[in-house]
Amino acid sequence: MDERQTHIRNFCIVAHIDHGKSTLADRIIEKTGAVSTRDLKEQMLDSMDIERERGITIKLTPVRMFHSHNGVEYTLNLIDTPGHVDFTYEVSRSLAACEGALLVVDASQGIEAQTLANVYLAIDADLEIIPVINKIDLASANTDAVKKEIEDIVGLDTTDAPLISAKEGINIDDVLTKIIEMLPPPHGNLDAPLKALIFDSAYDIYKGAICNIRVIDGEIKVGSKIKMMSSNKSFDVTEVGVFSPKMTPVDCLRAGDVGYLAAAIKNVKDTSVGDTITTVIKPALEPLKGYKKVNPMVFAGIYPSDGSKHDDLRDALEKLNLNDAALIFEPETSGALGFGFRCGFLGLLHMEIIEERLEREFDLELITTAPSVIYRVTKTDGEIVQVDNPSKMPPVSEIDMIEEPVVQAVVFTPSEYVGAVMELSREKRGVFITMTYIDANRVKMEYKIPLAEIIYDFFDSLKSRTRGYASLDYEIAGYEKDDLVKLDMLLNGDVCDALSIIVHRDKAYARGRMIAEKLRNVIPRQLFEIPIQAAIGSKIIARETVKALRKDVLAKCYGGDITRKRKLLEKQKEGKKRMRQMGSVAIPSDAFMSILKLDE
Amino acid sequence: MQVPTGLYIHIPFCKAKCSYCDFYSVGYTESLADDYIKALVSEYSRLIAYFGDITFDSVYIGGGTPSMLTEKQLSRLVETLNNSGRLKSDLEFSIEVNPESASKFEFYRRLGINRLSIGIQSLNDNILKRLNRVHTARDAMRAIKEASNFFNNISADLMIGLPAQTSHDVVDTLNQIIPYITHLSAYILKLASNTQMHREVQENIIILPEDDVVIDQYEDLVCECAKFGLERYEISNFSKADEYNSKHNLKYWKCQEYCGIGSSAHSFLNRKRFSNDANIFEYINDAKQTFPNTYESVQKNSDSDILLDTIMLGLRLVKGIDIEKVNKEFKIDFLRKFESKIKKLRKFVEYKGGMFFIKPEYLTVQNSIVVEFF
Repeated sequence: MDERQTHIRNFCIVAHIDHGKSTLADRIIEKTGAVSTRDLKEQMLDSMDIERERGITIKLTPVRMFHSHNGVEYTLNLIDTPGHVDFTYEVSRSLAACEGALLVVDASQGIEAQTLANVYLAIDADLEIIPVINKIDLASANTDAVKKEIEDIVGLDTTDAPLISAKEGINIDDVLTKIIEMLPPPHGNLDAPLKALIFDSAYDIYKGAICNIRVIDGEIKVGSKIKMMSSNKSFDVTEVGVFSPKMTPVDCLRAGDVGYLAAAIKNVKDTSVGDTITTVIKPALEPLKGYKKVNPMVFAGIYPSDGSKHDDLRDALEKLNLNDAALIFEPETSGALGFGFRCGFLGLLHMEIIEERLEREFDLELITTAPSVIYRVTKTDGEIVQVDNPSKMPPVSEIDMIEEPVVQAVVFTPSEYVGAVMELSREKRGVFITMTYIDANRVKMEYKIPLAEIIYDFFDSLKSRTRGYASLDYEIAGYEKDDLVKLDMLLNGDVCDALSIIVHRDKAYARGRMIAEKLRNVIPRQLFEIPIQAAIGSKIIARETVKALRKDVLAKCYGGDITRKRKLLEKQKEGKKRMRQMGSVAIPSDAFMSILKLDE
Repeated sequence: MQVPTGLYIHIPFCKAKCSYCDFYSVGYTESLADDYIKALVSEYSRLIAYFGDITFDSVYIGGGTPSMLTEKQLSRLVETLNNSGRLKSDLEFSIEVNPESASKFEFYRRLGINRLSIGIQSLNDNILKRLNRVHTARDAMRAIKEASNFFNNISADLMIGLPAQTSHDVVDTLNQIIPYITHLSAYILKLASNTQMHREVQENIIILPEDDVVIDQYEDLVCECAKFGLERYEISNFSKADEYNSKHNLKYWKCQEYCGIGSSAHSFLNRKRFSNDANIFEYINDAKQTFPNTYESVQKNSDSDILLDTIMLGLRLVKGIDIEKVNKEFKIDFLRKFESKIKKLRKFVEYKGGMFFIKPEYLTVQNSIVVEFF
């Protein structure tokens, strides 16, 4: 290890949403002078608007800083991590690029389930972990209890844990000192063949695909001929640089460094995250251990509201895919919605974020169908099919059994809400596994619950029934058979494929009634009466009617001003165009959303 | 221009803003009204000078509240028209009056006005108050009775679909005014978003009746009118005989020519649709913003545009559109051109005796039917 390398620290921050991770990051950046106070926006690293608004981190944003300690200048690379269960995959990516992690815990809230999951990931990745107790300035702060909790649950020594207030800027220096003193410098051999880990990638219209990399061994500079070890594709490096926090070109990146490279890579698919980069001339023998490829768990159809925007939607999905490898999509056609894409997401939040980014960054209006999981259907002829779209479910007569993915869900809750969590879990077809008291007030409850129930408003219900105190974490625990049926919605006698869902038979009646009622409210009255039916196979289980329209807006053409009426009619015509036409029925976009969010 | 056209004159003064109204209006002051009349006279003079052969067989003074004008102001305006030599002998000459300012009936007759339109709206005082009308039911009855001593062609305006209004209210109002009227305009309340009442609805201060309730009221009114020989000839208009149909308004519905003078007045002349700015001060002070510049600065409408207008407006009439006339005017085969649309709408429309029309029971969904032609 050379002298230079001993003065580098690569670390990330693990924290629960709201526990102050981004604020701490801001303070560290400010303290080290990487960004002048003038340029400092709140929550520097959350670069997407959505991230800043929702107070969450989705993308990994690295930043390089300098800090003097005992007369020596250190380079600190902070790699931000997402905090939500859906983004565990991204967390493991940033962990792989670091040697250490700060575990930030709110002094008044204590450790949360999701934090715990990420801490375990960090421990698994052999990271050195520094506990940091934040928000000590709050009246409700209970530093001792939180310290004890960290020791009991995570098993970390908290004797020297920095007690800080990121918001007020208290004890930030202590954090910096701990980073330098406690975290190991990056190992790795500058003279060995190049090995650099791609931990993220993004697309730049001028430079091509940009790889965020952590150099493990060797060095990389402009002009280096590199190759991707997974595909053997080679490229000439056109730029290397660091994030300070803006992209800043440097001469070269060496073992231990975190930065980026551009190599006129046209296709982002050539930069798979987790891949190892080496040189063509002196290649490494073995690639680095990549990440476990995660599979999307939640599927939904995404369609443009305006059918002519199909190509725009494809472009947008491809662009998002460039820096969100977890998103998958393929073309899909729906009788009601026309041409669109079936997209796979890590979870519901991931889906919401993709939708929001498509709408904001690409200015698209979308119709999204109800999220679905992948069902495993065994047909009577023994064939097994995977069904990720309810409308593709084989006919009832050909089905022997349907299995669905189940998760092992862990809920941390204050003890007073144990009853509420139990009731919710029962409603969601949960099977109780175990319950443990962490301390006098906090309970850890484990359930086996169908994933389909989790993605259907479990999290929102949990939050509302525990007044926001409970937290949820889950992991996939295989497939289980249950009595599942496909519920179809018929409009004017025709099945509207985009509204079909798969539900448990016991819930089908209630859901069918609810959706029919909701549709009756969102579908505007039209010239003809519209019967709405819910059906399982050929059996009608609920019926509503949208009565025929009897009254229009009767603008009088006062004083010969017919332009108002013309405008009104042209607007009405436009409005009709935005609706989906199924036979003689015009369905507004909200109708497809309405089955996503049902008020029970 | 051999065919006589219609003349609309807008008087934008009001004593108070009705809570449902989003039309442009200003408060009345004598000097402002004097200036306004002067500007109207000037615009009219430019109009008849520009079109040397233009004549009128209908004049409609609307508002606003034209009855707020003094005798002196009104006679200055009307004498100008009378002395211009452009009014035909079979002239229909209407003026809108509101009950609170309706008194100069004998004077109106002397000026040659032969048709009166009274803004009754309702004879329920609670409703009138809610509408922010400045008259009471008693004012309205007094006005209409007195007017009937001077006019044999009186139209009343009623409103349907008002908050807290019942079918009984509507029928009761009709029963009280029926002996005095030859024509009725009954409009269903339509709230524009920039009105006071719209805000009150948003804030749940008042609740509008459901569409079905409103239409039931409307159907009751249509029935009741028929009993008294008031036949519906347009979505919202009824008359005791064809001769009492509003000649002026029929020009709008038949897509015939008319010109409007005054602030915010609209015109359709020589296939051009144009209008004046609403602002009365600009109208008074800047003649350049009115006729003929308004006329010269717009393009002629295309055939297809006027055809759509013809459909949109003609299907308001119970008798509908004269197909032979339309075919000749636009050089089309209407029934073939719109064959698939008409087929789709067959439940709602009919072609009989050369006329294409919406069946009366579906006139209240005229928009949704007409939009199919767009």
